[in-house]
This record gives sequence, C-alpha cells and structure tokens, in this order.
Amino acid sequence: MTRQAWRFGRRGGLLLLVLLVAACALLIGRGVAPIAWAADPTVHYISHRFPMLEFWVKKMGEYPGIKLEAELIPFDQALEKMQIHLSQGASTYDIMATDAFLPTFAQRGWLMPLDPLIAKLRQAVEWDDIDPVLVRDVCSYKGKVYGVPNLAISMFFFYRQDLLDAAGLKPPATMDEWIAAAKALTAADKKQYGTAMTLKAGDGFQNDFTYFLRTYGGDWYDKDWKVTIDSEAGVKALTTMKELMKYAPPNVLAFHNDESTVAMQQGLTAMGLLWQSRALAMDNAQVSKVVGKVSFAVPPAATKGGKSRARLAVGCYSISAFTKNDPELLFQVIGKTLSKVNMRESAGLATPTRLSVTKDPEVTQKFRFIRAAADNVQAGARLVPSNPEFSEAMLQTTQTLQKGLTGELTIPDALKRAQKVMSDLMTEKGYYKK
Amino acid sequence: MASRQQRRDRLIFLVPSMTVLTVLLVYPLAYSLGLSFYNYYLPVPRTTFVGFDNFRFILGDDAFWEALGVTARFTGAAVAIEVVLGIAVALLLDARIPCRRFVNTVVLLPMAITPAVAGLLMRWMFESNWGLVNYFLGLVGVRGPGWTGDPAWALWSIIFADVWQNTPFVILVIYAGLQSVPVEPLEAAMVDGASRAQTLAHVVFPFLRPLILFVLIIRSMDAFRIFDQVFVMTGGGPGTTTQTITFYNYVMAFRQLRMGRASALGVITLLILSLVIGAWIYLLYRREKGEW
Repeated sequence: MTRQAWRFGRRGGLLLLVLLVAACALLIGRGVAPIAWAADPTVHYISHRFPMLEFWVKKMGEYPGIKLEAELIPFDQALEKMQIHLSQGASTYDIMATDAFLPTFAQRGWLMPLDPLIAKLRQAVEWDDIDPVLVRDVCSYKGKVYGVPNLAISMFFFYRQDLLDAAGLKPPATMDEWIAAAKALTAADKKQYGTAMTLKAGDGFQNDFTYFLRTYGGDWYDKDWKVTIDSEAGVKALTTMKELMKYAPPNVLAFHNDESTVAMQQGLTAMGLLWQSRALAMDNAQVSKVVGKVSFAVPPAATKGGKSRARLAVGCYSISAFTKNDPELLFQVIGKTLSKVNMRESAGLATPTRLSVTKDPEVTQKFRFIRAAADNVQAGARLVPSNPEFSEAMLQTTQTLQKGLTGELTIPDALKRAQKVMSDLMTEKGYYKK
Repeated sequence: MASRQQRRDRLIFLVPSMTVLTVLLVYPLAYSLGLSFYNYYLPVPRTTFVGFDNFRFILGDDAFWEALGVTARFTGAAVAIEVVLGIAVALLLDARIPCRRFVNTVVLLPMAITPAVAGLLMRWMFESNWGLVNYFLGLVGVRGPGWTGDPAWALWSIIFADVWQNTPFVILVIYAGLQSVPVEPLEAAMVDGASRAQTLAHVVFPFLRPLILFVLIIRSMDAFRIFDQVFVMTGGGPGTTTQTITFYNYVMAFRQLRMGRASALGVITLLILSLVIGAWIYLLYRREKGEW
C-alpha cells in the first residue's frame, strides 16, 4: 500500500476534524455542566458503609425526580474525602452522613444550617416526630441544627451462647470475668479466640478505648476541656485491653468494625464488643456460620454493680453548605428517606430516631436489639465528646495509644504522649492559655 | 562552533519541553517550597508566614524520626533482598534452563500489576486467619504470626510485597546486562582455566557493576517513597511500626490537613533523597573516571 493510498482525502479529513471537534465539545460540555440536559437533578451522597446506611441509600434512590449518585466507602476514607472537598468549598457532595465530627464541620462552616428548612417544611417531613434529644445533643452545634438524626446505635457485648453454655460460663459482668472467660474459650490451635476487639488506629480503636476508659471511671476531658486520659483509669483501660489482646486473633491490631464482625460471623471469636448495627448480620445464613448462636448483653463493668459505659453513636444526615442543588429538595429527600414507613422497615438494623417508631410496642417486640440498646443506654452508654477537636486528634492519639499495646511504649508513656498530642491541639485552638 | 541561527533553533526546540517541565515540576516544587514557610491549615483559608517554624516542628517531632527510621529499615532491607535475589534469578535465567521463555514471562508478571492492587493481594495473602501464607505454613505444622497486625512482622509483610513486585525489574536489567557480556573475555577465562565462580567474580561482575549501581539508585529512590503498599496493607500500623516518611506526609496533609507542615516535610524528604542519590551518582562518576 502506498503512502498516498491510506491517507485521508480532503473530505475524509474534514469529516474527521468535525467529529473530533464535536466530541471535544461534548466532553467539555459534560464536564462543565454534567446535568445540562438531564431531566432530573443529580444528588451526590457520601457516607461510610454498613447495613443501615446501605438501606437508607436504597430508599434515597427511590425518591422521585432525582438521580442519586452514592459513594459508600470505609469511615476514614469517607471522612478524608469530605474534608478535602469541603475545605476547598467544592460542591462535590450534597448529602453527607455525619456523626461525632458534625461539630467540627459545622464550626468550619461546611454544613448548611437546617433551621430555616425545618421551619418551612416541618409538616412535610414530620419533624416533630424525630427525637428532639438526638437533634439537640448530636445533630446541632451552638444552638443551630445541622443534621437530621438517621440512626442511633450503641456497642453491645456479643457472645456465643453455645460456647459459654458448653464451658459452664455466664456472660461476663466484670472485666476480670471477661478476661477469665476469654482465656477459657481460647483454643488457638482450633482457631477459636476468646474475644473480639476492634483496635485499628482511628475511630475503631477510639470506640473500644472510650468504653474501657469510661468504665474505669475516666474520660477524655474534664468539664473545662482539660485532657485527662493520662490517669489511673487510662492505665487500667490499656492494661485490660493488653491483657484481653492475648485471647484475641493474632492480627487484632489491624481489625476495624468489618474485621471484628467477620471474625464473629465465621466463628473465630467467642465474644466481644461490637456495634448494634452488626447484630442482624449474625443471623444472616448467607454470611454467618453462627446463626442463632449469638446473644447480646450490656458490656462488662469494672467491678460488680459498677457502671458500663459503652459507646453510643448517633448518625445524622447533613447538607453541604456548598451544594448547588436546591436545599429544599435535599431536605425533602432526607425527610422522605427517614419516613415513618422506612424507619419501621429498618428497625432491625439500628435504633430508629422517630418517636412514633421507637415507642411502638410491635416494633420493639419484633426487634430484640432495640430493647437491648435501651438497656445499654440505661446502663451508661454515652456519646463521645462533642468538641470539634476530638475527631481531629483521633488518628494521632490512637496511634500513640496503640503503641502501649504493641510494647513500642510503656502504657504510662503511651498515655503521657497521647495526652500531649491532644493538649497541644487544644492549646493551639485556644482552649487554654499558652 | 554553533552559529547564532543554530543557537536560536536550539532554544526554540527547548521551549516545549521546558514549558512542560516548568508547569509540571518547577512550579509545584516552588509552590510547595513557598507553602512550607506558611501556617496553612486547609479548613482555614487564611495563611500566615511562620518562617522556619514548620521545619523546626518536624525536626523536633518524634513521629518524623520514627518514620525516617522505618523508611531507612524498609529501604535497606527491600533493596538489598531485591538486588541479591534479582541477580541470582537473572543468572538462573541466563543459564540454559528448560521453558526459559515461559519462565521469563511469568517472572516479569508482578511488574505489570499496579502497586495498590499488589498490596491488596498481599494483604489477603498475609491475613492471619484465612490467608494463603498461614495456610501453607499450617500444612508444615507452623502457626504463622499475625503478619500485618503484629508489630514484629508488619514491616516484613510490606518488604515481602515490595520484593515480590520489584525484583522482576532487577532481573530484567541484570538479565539484559548478562546478554551483552562479550564472549571473548569469557572464552579467555575458560582457556586460562578459571572456575565458574572466578569467571563470575572477575569477568561477569565487572561488566554488570554499572547496571547494579543503576538498579540500586532506581530502587532506593522508589523504595524511599513507598506509599501504596503501606496504605493498603497496614495503614501505617500497628502503632507507627510501618509509618514511612511518605505515609506520614500523607497523614499530615490529608488527615490532619496541615498543608504547611506537610510541604515542609516534603522539602525535607526531597533533601534527604537528594543526598542519597547524590552519593550514588558520585559513585557512578568515579566509575566513569575509571577509578574502579
């Protein structure tokens, strides 16, 4: 074939040029205004992933007249993506799942105050049915509402009823009983470990540590926001965690909620602290080998008759301050997603946030977890501190605390260093005089 | 001597590449350097000039020195294993083994996988309860450790992943070098009665030395900047036992959102890396000057 033969003729060349220009224009047009010709507005959603949130996303996608683009990814990655986009004032996300970090985002001006929307659409979304305590304590910041509560969960003590019965043990009521039972139920050669733990640095470690710290009578801060983890309670908390680690799967320091759940479902662990939202998955025969064998109790106290202070978490749906969609539409999407009907359907996955559903005896009878969650709150389950700096310091602090468990640092040194990390941040943010 | 016209032409031809370099390399570097002198906290748009405060903070930060130690241990171990193993496999492939072409192809496969995917693959292989590694160890009666969750083994898991992925690069370069060793000196050595080991040490290796230095430079640079496998396999943990400099930089920039400090750390990393590479290049020049 000669060079001339396969060359484009003038017409062919012109046609190719036109096609190229048209393709470029189309791509640029799509990039600049992706919904220019779409009939329905696109709502961008981001959250971490667990069954309850997956359920809400499914329901959100059913809202008429919108196209939902949802991103459900692990907690730390979702938080990271939200922070990067919002800090640049980007309108990437419209609806976001927020929780303990809501005050941080609200303080930075990243969330839209919902009060005007509530005033306007109170009837349409049946706002007065939503638990006002959750709205006030978790989804608000400095008197303004920044989120709609979508779920409430606490950490339960999951245990294998069959294994405990076979060993003649009762669910542990104290830390010492927990350690003893974990030791008795560990048979590493049979791949059975006495306890599950969630110790990956970040929010996973924080959840477990908060429970141990508070149950031993300590806390992250005192009433003046002075950091107080370098305390006797802190030492007891890390010492107990280190002791329990001996009876946990060997790579437990890399376990987040998913790994702890799978370990329980696959019969690898006999008991441990897990979120209420993971309870239903134990009885799912498709993914669980322990269907009907797992029971729930209030987590152990420090001593007999003492308080058990597991983590309580409330999730909210918030609207980005930088959204380009109609806020009223977004608020209605959230409101309809969290309708009474949907919440009744989801009641097995987490504690509902509508009063009409939580007070419905039919629902509480059907889903045993709701009763157990109420017992948990009664026993002393509490939320994490509400200051914006708490979530900011979480990763570095928990990495440092983890070193107390790995032996890189002694437990007192790990607590001292973690306390310094948090105190330095609080000083920098103006909580104390330098 | 080039005429004025030629010099002008050269400049014109340099413009496109210099533009690309300026946009993609010089500007980001200068921007990052500038940023390192500011207190730039991403959620707060206001920045303040802080001079060398960010550098002082990092150099006084225990986490930085720990990360530097982890990076040095990782780089030293991974590169040493890769070079030794790579040379050994290249020599094996150079010998007349059966199915050589097939083996060549299989050996090079890991290079075609992206580091993040390779990391994910390794994460599951090193999973202590259901992973392949512990399964095979179990078959020979050995109970494997917790690998990525065990402070004593986590870094070794990542080293293994890196060795698996990057040894093929060493093999490729050394194997190509072996193909270009001239026949005459080999024949002369044979005639003189040199043993195989002597031929290898005194004839083959002198030819390979520049290539070994080349792979050492490239692999050291790459290993020093490791991120993907750490991110996917351990997330820097347990504790900070696998937190390398690059991962620490990522945490500072994208989790703590301290862009000023992260830029300063980037500049410090660049300086350290430049020193290491400078030392390697100095060695290369010595070679070119015929000093060894």
